Amino acid sequence: MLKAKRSRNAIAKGFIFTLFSLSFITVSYAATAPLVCKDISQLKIIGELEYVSVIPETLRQKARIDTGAQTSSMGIMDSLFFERDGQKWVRFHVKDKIKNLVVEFERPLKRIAKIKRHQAEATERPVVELKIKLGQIELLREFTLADRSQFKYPILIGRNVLNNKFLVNVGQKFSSSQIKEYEQ
Amino acid sequence: MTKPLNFYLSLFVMLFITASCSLNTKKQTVGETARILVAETRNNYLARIDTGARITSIHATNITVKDGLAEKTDNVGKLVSFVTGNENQQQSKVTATIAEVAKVRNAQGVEYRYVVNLNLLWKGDNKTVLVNLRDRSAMTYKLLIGRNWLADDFIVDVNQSEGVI
Repeated sequence: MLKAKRSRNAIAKGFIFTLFSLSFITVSYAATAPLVCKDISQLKIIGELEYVSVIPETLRQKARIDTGAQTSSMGIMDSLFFERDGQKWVRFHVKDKIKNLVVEFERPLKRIAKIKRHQAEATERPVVELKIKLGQIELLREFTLADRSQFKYPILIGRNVLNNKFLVNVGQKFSSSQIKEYEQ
Repeated sequence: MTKPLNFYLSLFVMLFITASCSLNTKKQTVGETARILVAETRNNYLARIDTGARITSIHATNITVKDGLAEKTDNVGKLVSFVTGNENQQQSKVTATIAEVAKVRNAQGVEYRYVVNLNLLWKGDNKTVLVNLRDRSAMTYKLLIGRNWLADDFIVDVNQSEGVI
């Protein structure tokens, strides 16, 4: 009788212990899990190709999302340096491949980027800051201006745009924009 | 009565958090670089994860085709031997069957490269993918992971990294 009672007591103790440890795990889990997964879930998932708008010119182009590139790049037709209020500016033209017209841009020149190329001579490209919209997110980021006429997509989105803002899911395309606007 | 209720409640909360956490990250995330084992070489490569590249590319020199002809496209199906090495110059010689010849367009123009199947291992993922052979000695990363490795399995978070050279 006494033995049975003691064992029942032990079971009860064990049960309470389990309960305590379980609730402890739950509390600590509840406290840390959102912090752990919050970082990633806050980032928007985009595909390997997306529409990107340049503001305020409202130029909208198809962009290749490229985690292999450090700095983003925009394809231009020409560029001309000039001075405005003692500051170096660059005027450049971009072909709007969707509306089939030419858009003129003027931006302060941030720097000249020296591009090292494999099996080719090094080249220099002007760098400007562009305000872009990808999905619902607006960002001001550096873009190198380059001749991208031999590439299918006029804009290249590199890590300076993606970092801390987007996750890339290849296979997915044009997910972050209202494509219908241009299909009408 | 309250104790079992408490127990089930905590279980439910745990399940709920796990579910909501994994909802957004169903696919495993990979950073801007990853340490990947190339089974055929028995070496780990610090690879650049590149969503801009269609297929994966590995450093290869001394590329020789057994009974090879001058035209690359005529050598599909033949055996190709090449020397490859990782960022620590750990070299190995690999022989594989040429699966296809890839036309690669980059900033320098168009070139044709041999493509072979290689077995890549990373964090429990074991996959055989098409890899093109290129002399990457002038390049920092000796393995470039393209979309053919990433597709269906991984989401890229460039904020993460397994090392930068």
